[in-house]
Parts: sequence; structure tokens; C-alpha cells
Amino acid sequence: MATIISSEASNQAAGRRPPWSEIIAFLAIAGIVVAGVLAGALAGASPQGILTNVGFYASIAVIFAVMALGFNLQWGYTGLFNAGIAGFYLIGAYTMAIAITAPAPPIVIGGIPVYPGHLGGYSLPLTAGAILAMFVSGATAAVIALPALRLRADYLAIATLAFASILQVVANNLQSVTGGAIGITGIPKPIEFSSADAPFLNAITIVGIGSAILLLLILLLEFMAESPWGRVLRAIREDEEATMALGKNTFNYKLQAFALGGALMGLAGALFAVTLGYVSPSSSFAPAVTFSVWVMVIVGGSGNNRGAIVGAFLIYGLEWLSVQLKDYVPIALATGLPILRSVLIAGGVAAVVTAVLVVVLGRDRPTSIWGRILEKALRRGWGRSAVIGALALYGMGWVFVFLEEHAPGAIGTTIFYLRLMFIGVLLILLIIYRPEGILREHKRVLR
Amino acid sequence: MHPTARFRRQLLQAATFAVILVAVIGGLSFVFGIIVLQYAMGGLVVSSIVIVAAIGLTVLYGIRGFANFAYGDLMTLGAYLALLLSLNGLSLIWGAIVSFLVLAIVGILLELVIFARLEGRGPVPPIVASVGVGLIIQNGVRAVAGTAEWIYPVPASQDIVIVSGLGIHPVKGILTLAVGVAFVISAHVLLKYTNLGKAMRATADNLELAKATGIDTKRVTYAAWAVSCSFASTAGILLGLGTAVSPTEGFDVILLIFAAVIVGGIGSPYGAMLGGLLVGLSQEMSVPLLVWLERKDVIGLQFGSNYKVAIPFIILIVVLIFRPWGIAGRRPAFARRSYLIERVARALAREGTAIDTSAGEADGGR
Repeated sequence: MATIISSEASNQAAGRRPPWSEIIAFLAIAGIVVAGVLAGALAGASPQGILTNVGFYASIAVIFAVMALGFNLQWGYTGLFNAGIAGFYLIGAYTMAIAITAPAPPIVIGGIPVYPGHLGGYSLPLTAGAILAMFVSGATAAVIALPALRLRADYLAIATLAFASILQVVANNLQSVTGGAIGITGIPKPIEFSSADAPFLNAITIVGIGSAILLLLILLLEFMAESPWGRVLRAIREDEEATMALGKNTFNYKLQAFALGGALMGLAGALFAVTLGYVSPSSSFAPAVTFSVWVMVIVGGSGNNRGAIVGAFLIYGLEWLSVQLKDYVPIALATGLPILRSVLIAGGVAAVVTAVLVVVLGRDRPTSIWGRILEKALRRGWGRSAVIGALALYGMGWVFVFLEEHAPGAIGTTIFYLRLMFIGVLLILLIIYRPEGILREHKRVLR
Repeated sequence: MHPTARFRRQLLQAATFAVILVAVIGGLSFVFGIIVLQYAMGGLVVSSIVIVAAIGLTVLYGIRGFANFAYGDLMTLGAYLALLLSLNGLSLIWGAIVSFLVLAIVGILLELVIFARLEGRGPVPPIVASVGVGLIIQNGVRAVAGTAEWIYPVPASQDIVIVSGLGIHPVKGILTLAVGVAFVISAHVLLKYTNLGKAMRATADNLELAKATGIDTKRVTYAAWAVSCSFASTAGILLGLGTAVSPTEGFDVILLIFAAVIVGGIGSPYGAMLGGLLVGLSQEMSVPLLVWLERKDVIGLQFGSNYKVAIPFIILIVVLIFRPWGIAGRRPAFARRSYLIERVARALAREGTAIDTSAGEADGGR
């Protein structure tokens, strides 16, 4: 009797265990925002400038969240691997820009073409532009997927990657449609402000609209995921052959999921075009965008919509922070280098001593406190993640010290590349150790 | 050596292909002038680089069963290693050899540290990890060496003119072609006449069967990584010789290499050779066509020749639709046909059965 009661109690305790990983994720996002604000304040920006900056972060993060939702629908639910997210994003942005801007004829000064003009100038309302962007993107996704969906996952990845890089070439060269390297400017804002704090108000409007769209999307996607349609998608992900055997036309389901995901990426592109006010074939549509979205969805836990949004805010937050710290880090490093080095050495010695103690004392006595610590650090998922994270942080600290010693001031210029390297490291570590993500998909049991 | 029937058939196919190729190029140059030969020469040079890379990629693809998206960046790494050595006083040849060996070790380390942990988890996790590796290499190169382009310290030289209007550069052309041919021959010797090569082919064909016959597949996997990455290094150096060494030189051509691998049939080195030839030639030889499209009285395409990178993609899509197993690959027993073909086949079959039943009825009525 007593054992039953205690097991029930422990079950309840397990059920009520606070969602640590979610709390940590939210704390991390808050920390990123605070750090960004602090960096801005230390650099002497006005309060309004800082707020505008935070608003910019929130609006771009919302855009990435929409993209992450689209990729989550494709990969997380259906298991279709898309390596050309940036391509669908580009299509959405350009469709929106072409649909809603005013006509822009070519500009020729003294016989030299300065601006080639672009297709369109239809001055459509914003909603029509967004719907058009979603439609064009989704249709393109369907067409691209058509030859590759029946084949193994890597064919689809290669085909979409190829498609995205071709689109960048097209955007750069097909001047009469896309405006060439200059792109399309003068995209109208949802509400035109003319006062001095227009950038701030614009950022706030975009964040408001984006959040509303995000809320709507997540409600819709959760509903769809719970519906029979969503169940078929998950069944395809788990075992396509079995789903086929149950009489489902898996090809049609996969096509629908892929096209819908592509449409969401197009919506993200449309939001991006409105947010920035111009589109150009720049790094905004580089393959790095695709890889960032992968990290966001993997961090959030594939198959978990809320996780995808949290992942977007977290990973884009890191990118944003690296830009904020770009000017500040070199100064701080130059003055604080000796302190950083002594902290690193002390921390390293302390960590090695602790590790040796734990291993020596705990290896043969698994029931002692050392043994339990060792067990937790090695066996538990979060224990291992913590150890790896600490090691990665420590290594990064030394990289900073080393770089600052050998090439003073290089951090500021290379921080962009260091960030992408960090994303690469994150991809590898996550896919090896936490493929189910930090915020996992809720395991659905037969009800 | 007794040529088997299969070998003779393959030889015949290769000869037919070569004759068709020569006939097409010859015909085109007869009609449009010697300029076509110049483009064909450029195409052959590009092909020889692509073939070296595609053999490396396809060997790994066949044995490890995943698309290595970091392959382009491994090429970049090899090119930069050789650059580093050649800027520090070594000759480029020695730089290339050292880079060849170092990249082989890098490949084995990659398998040991990362990819061995992802075995048996389907094709996507290794792709994600390989993209991570690619990001690290590409941006590491940028952070260390900067984004500027570098030129290998080789003596400058002029094109050798064969006929007027048809020239070839001694380093960018002849050397690249020679290295490409040498690599094709050495790959052939490795795969056909050594135990390791035979084990590699067996493993790529059927892993379980290879294990059952006592092949040490673990060793074969390491060998495949070493071969793949060292081929990548040489391809990267050749690429850098042709234009310049830059952090994205490898990533920019990865599409071309994937196209060659898939067109040739994944895991088939001989297919990769054929695919590389086809893809490289068609990309370069499409330039005059695209330039023609630029003319105002045709369709007035702007910057037409920049679209040449789209040609391999088009070939890739066409192959995915009609022959997903590649032009030289073997058709799997349960290969699913592509959607369009399936539809067409089904429609035809329906028509056929309709005719059959009517015929049967007619027979029965008689």
C-alpha cells in the first residue's frame, strides 16, 4: 500500500515538474533583449533609438518565427526536408514588393541607365499583396516538390537548395522584373507616419501586425495538427509505407504540406518586404537564412509549433545581439583581456580539479554523492547538455582571448563569421545529442 | 584479360556516347564556326574539375548513404591549405600533395567525431550535420583569411593558340585537363584492380552483404572518407587555379557537383564521370545560346550568360523526373517512378486495358 501511494505521489510530482527547459529558454530570450538594450545604452543611444532597435529585433524575429512554422509543417510534421527556405522567402518578398509598390519606370541619366525599373507597380492593398505572395510561393513549392517528393529525402534537399541558389541569380540578373542588384524600393508601410519618431512607430506597427498573424497561425496550425489531416502527416513522418497501406494517398498529403509550408515562407517574405521597405538580392536571402531556420526548428523541437517560435526568438536574438555587440565587444575585450584570461584560467583549473575529484571519488562508489553527480553529468540528457555547453562556452572564451592577442580588434570585423560558425557548431551538437530539440514535441498517446 | 559480356557492352556504350558527343560538337562548330570549339574546350576544363569532385562525392554518397553538403567547403579548405603552403615558400605541387594528405585525415576525423554517431538515422541528420561542418569551414576561412580573393603564385603565361580563334591556357587548361584525366585513371585503377576498391564497390552496392562476406566495412568507410576528401582538395585547388581562391568557391559549385552525381546515378563513380562531362559541357556550351537570347530581336534577356548556372539545375530536374536512378545507374527493383510518368503510365494502362477488355468481349461474342 505504502509503495503504491509513494509511486502515485512521485508520478504526480513528475507530472507537476516545472518545465525547466521552457523557463530557461524564456530567460535566455529576456537576457538577450536586456543585453542588447544595455549594449545600446552603453554606446550612448537615445531611449527611443534603443526601443526602435528592440522593435526591429521583435519584428524580424516574428518573420523568422513564421518561416520556422512553415519549415516545422514541412519537416517537423511531415518529414520533408527543405534546403531552400531562403528561395521561398525571396519569392514572397519580391511578389509582395511587385504587387504593392507604385510604378517605378527606369531612370536614365545622360544615356546611362541608373535604375532599370522593375515589373509591376500595381499599388495593390497590403493584404492582397500578402495573399498573392503566399499563393505564388506555395505554388512554386508544389512545382519544385513534384519531381522530388517520390524520391528519398536527400533528393528533395538537393533540388530545393539548387532552386534557392538559382533564384538568387535570377533576382540579381532579371532586371526588368526584379530591379537587378538595386532591387525594389519604396514599399509602402501599413500606416505612414510623418512625425519625427516614425521609425519607432513603424517598428511597433509591424510587431503588432506580425504578432497578430503569428497568433492566428499558431491557432490554425495547432488545430490542423490535431485534425485527421495533421494525424496523417505525422503518420507519414513515422512510417510512410504503413500510411500508404492504410489507403492514404501519401503523395497528395506530402504535396499539400510542402506547398502550405512554402506559402508560410512566402508570407514571411511579404512581412520582410514591408518591414524593411525595400528588397534587394542581398544577404537577406542567402543560404544562411535557411540554415538559421533549421537551427530554430531543431532547437525548438521539430513537430512543436510553440517550440519553433521560441527557437526563432532565441536564435535570431543571438544574431541580433552579435550585431549589437559588434562595436562594444572590441572595446570591452581590449580593456578586460587580463581579467578575462585570469577568470578563464581559474575557471579551467577549478573545473579540472572538480572533474578529477568527481571521477576519482565517484567512479567506484555510484551511491555516494560524487557518484550521483557523475551519473547525472554523464547519463542524463540535460547533464550532458550542460557539460557540453560549459565546454563550448569555455572554448569560445579562449578563442576570444587568442584572437584579441594575435589580431587586436579583429573580433569586431569577424563577429559575423563567428556567429555563423557558432550556428554550425550548434547544428552539429543538436543533431547528435538532442535531435528531438530542447522543447520537445508532446508525445501523443492514444486517447 | 578476358573481357566479359557486360564489360564489352559498357565499352560499346561509352564509345557510342563519345561518338555522339564528338559528332554534336563537330556539327555545331561546323555550323557556327570555331567559337563553339572554344566553348567546348572551356566545358571540358570545367568538366575535368567537376569529375574529380563528383567522383569523391559519389564514393562517399554510395558508401555512407548521405549527401555531403560540406563537400564544396571541403574543396575550399583544400584550396586554402595549398595556398597557405605555397605562399610560405613551398611549390604549389607540394602544397597540393600536402593538402591532399591533410584533407584525407580531416575526412577520417569527421567520420570519427561526427558522422559515425549519426549512422542508421536516415539521410537527413547527416545532411544537417554536414551543413554545420560547411558553415564552420566556410566562415572559419573567412575569419582567418578574410573575404578577399587570392591568386596562386604560379608563373603567368599566355594562351597557346592552336588554330586562330582557338586557344588553351597552359595552366588553367592543359594542366587541369591532365590532372582530371590522371584522377579518372587512378580512380578506375583503385576501384577495379585493388582489394580496397573492390571492397568499396561491394559496400556501396549492399552493406549487409559486404559485411556477410567478411569485408571490414568500418575500414572501407574510413577509406571512402579519405578518398572523398582528398579528391575534394585537388578539385578545390584546380578550381582556384582556374579563377581565384575565395571562401565561397566550393559552395558556389556544389550544385554543379550534385547535378553531376545525380545525373550519373548516386554511388556510381563511372556515372559521376559521365555526369560531370555532361553537366560541365552543357553549362559552358549554353553560353553562346544564352548570349544569343540576349539579343534585342530574340527575347532581350539581360545578362544572359549569368544564367549558365541554371543549366545543371534544369538537367537535374529532368533526370529526377525521368530517370531518378541516374543515366548510368542501375534501376532499383522497386523504383518508384516519378509522379508525371506514373500518371502518364497509368492513363496509358487504363486505355490499354479498355482496349483489351473490348477485344476480349469481341472474342467472347464470337
